[in-house]
Amino acid sequence: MTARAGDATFSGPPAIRQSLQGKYAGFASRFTAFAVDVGVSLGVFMLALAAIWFAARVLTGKDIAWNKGDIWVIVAYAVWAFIYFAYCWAASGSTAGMALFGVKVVRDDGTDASGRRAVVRTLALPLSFLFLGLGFVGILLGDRRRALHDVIAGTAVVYSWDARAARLRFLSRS
Amino acid sequence: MNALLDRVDLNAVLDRVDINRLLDRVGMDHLLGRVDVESLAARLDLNQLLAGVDMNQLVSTVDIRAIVQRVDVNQIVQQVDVNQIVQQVDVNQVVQQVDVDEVVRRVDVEAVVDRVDVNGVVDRIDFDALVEQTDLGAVIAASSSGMASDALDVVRSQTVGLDEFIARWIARLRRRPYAGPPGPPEGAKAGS
Repeated sequence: MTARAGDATFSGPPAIRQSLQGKYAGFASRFTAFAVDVGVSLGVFMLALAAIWFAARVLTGKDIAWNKGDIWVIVAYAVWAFIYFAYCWAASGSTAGMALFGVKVVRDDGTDASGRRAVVRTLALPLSFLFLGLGFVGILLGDRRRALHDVIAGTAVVYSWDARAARLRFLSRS
Repeated sequence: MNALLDRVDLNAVLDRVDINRLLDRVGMDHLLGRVDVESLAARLDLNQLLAGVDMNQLVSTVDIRAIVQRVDVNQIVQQVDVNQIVQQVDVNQVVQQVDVDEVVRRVDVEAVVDRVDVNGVVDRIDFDALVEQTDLGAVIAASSSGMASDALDVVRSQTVGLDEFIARWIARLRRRPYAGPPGPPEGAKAGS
């Protein structure tokens, strides 16, 4: 089933027939990776809240009522999200979603992103959402496909996935 | 004398001669002793002589089987130094001239397999030792990771296809040519 789906895919987009490694990643890859990251970070955060609720109930016998509008919950999530994104970008250049879709954060010259740039990029990320996400337009229209937070941090997002190798791997198995 | 000889009928004379008695009276050994055989042989043109011989007809009259039957082949073979002959053979050159594909094609594999005692071969396998030396866990893991890798490749390629679709439409709206995903400038280290 996988092979059949792969066959249809690999024979489709011409870009798949070349190695995309190091090329600037497109909007769909970055957006879906970010959506996965939001899901993962939210999921882990919810699990953590559930664990705290369970521990508090066992230890004190009282239920903790989590409210989405509770400022402490929002702040806690913001801190967690900052740690999640900043640590992943500093450590490997990829978050879970980015690793899944084969993209990674690098410096604008193509070398590995440093911890400082990862932190700046994480802090600048919310700015791209301002004015109806105007900061993301650069991914669609820019020659280097950089969002506002990329420009501020001096980073870019590239494909870390070797599409040509994947295609050859697929052909060798079929 | 000549006139006398002209009048003699030599044919009639020869008819009356008994050749056999005449030859009996001739000393052949004495006669042959006076013949210079070497000089005679030197004057023979063997090439011309052989040219006139019909070799095919000559060979057809020879009973080859009778000759072969009289030959002691074993005795001849015993005199042959096989080792010396083999040493002079360039085996590599001989092997290079062999069309292995053709040889294999002519081999009746089924007949060969039929002659193999599979049960006997299986009985000789020490399965316990074989399993101990085989990392079955690694084999299963490799197979599973292959499937996971395939699924991941499919997901990524689908997304890249969508990237390209969007980029192509944006380029069309901006009336700009699109030549695939852009990369960092020459000399910059690609993300690895």
